[in-house]
Amino acid sequence: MSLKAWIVTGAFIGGLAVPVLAAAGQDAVLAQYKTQAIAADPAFAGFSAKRGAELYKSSNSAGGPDTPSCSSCHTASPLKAGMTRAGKAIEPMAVSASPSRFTDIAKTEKWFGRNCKTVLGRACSAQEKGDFITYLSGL
Amino acid sequence: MDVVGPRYESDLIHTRPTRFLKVWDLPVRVFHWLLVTSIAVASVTGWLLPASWLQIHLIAGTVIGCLVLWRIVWGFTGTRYSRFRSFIFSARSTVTHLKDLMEGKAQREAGHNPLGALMVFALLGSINAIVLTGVAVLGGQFKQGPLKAFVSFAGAMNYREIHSVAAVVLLVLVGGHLAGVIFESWRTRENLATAMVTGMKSDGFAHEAPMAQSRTGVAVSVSALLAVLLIPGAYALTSLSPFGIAALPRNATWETECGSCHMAFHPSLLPVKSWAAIMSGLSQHFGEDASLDAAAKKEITDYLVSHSAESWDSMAANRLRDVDPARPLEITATRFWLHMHNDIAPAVFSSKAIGAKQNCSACHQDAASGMFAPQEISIPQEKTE
Ligand code: HEC
Ligand code: HEC
Ligand code: HEC
Repeated sequence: MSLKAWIVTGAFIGGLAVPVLAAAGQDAVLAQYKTQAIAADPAFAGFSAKRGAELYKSSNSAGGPDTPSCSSCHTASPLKAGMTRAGKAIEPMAVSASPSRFTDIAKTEKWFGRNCKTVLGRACSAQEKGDFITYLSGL
Repeated sequence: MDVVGPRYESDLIHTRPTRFLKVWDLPVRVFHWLLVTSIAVASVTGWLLPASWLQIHLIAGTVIGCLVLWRIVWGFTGTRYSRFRSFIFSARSTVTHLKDLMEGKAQREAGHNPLGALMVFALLGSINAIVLTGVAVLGGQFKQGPLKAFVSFAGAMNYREIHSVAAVVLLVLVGGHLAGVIFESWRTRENLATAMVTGMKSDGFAHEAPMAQSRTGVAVSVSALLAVLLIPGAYALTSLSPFGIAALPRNATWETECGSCHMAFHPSLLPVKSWAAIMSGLSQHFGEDASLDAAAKKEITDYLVSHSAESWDSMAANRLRDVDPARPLEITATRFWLHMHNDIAPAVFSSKAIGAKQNCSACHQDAASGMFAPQEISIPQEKTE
């Protein structure tokens, strides 16, 4: 093959790989939470977008008074940009609007760790995390 | 009362028709009225308008500086009455003039009379002091302009004092100058303000002399030489690194971790003690959990502590290091911050375009640099949807 043909082919494969890898990223994160969920409860029967939506919208009193809900910052619609209490914009949470969401396990874990404490006053379980991601991946 | 000397106008008008003499050459008249305009602009922007008008104030100040410099050149090269030589009077003739004035027998001068001449030098002197101290304030307080590499913030505060006092002195002198012009116009029955527009005065002076030739070529060459030296010189000085402001190395950990919920506040905006307290309480950070792993926490703490307000000489760092002892973690609780922003309604901060008072960069285009220059402030207007 000529050099040009190599470049064209390479670019084509590369172009295909970006969305595939991104999806794989969310799957990989979900797979980790699934393993943890089964370890915690052998009767685990899969993640539920419905439970995820409930978590997203629920109003809580155990956390900080200014942050009763995930939607306090991420807004009622996960397809829209949110805003922190300090006025900084937050990219939408829905994967369809922000494809890089839930692709970096360290980042995702860091924010579940912080935000569950801030809103719920406790850590989230692996199942809650998986439900949340499943909900936001299907919008 | 005895009329000792001739009472000029009234006597002369009867003896022969008024002749008009050119006294003020065009450059002096243009200089005079440009100076009036630019001093008016500098006064209004300096005394009355908020800091966001600084740029106009600086332009007016620069024009004033150039005008005065040019007037000095013309003072040696202009036509007769423009030259300093024509209005440097001995102490004795000044005293005599004053005495004559009081006795009502003072004569009429073509150019400046001895008192007017003193006023001209006092005006030029105070304007010079204002311009020079202004450049020093600009350098030390805002770290801008040709002196930014040489003046500390503390130094600028002293120059600022002189700048303000000299400005009040100038205001008083301008008042005296106007009073003098009105008095002299009344005394000699000749409108001296009009004379500064047309350049002409009716003749019959105590010391009259033909208009000396100006050395315009010399004036232009000297001015050009000054421009060639001063403009690039000022640019070169302005590009030096500012006094007491070290370049801030970038730190990606700090930028992402402390920049995800609000802008990453510049390390120079709080003192060491405040940063240390913030970093040791991240799990309960203003009602939120902002905890970090140990490595990131150490890296960011070191970074903030080594570039804190104590180590910077910007205005913001100098002012904000003075935290409120009751709320030492908040930039927005310092006396200075509250003072600078007390005109801004809470609704402006909570507007959609801004969100919260912590969103400094919404209004301060240079917030990330920590400099907070007055020229970089613009409050975004809420879009009407
Ligand atoms: C106080 C404001 C706030 C609240 C309340 C909040 N979040 Fe967040 N969340 C953020 C910010 C800020 C980010 C990081 C910014 C970004 O990634 O765009 C974030 C990011 C996340 C991420 C990381 C997403 C990724 O890209 O991997 C997850 C997961 C998350 N939040 C979950 C939650 C959950 C679950 C709740 C409710 C229990 C919640 N958040 C409530 C502010 C908030
Ligand atoms: C999880 C979100 C979050 C993260 C991460 C975070 N902050 Fe904050 N920070 C806040 C909130 C919320 C406020 C207070 C806003 C308010 O009062 O409405 C705040 C306020 C502050 C203030 C005081 C601002 C003022 O009002 O003067 C400082 C200083 C500060 N943060 C520093 C930091 C530093 C340093 C880091 C990085 C180690 C950091 N923050 C990380 C959420 C966060
Ligand atoms: C709503 C817009 C807005 C926000 C948000 C804002 N400022 Fe300001 N700030 C201003 C205005 C306007 C002035 C000028 C006030 C004046 O000159 O009277 C100012 C003045 C200042 C000054 C003095 C600067 C000077 O050159 O005169 C500093 C320092 C400053 N702000 C820091 C901050 C910091 C730090 C934050 C974030 C914690 C912040 N500001 C947030 C509008 C804002």
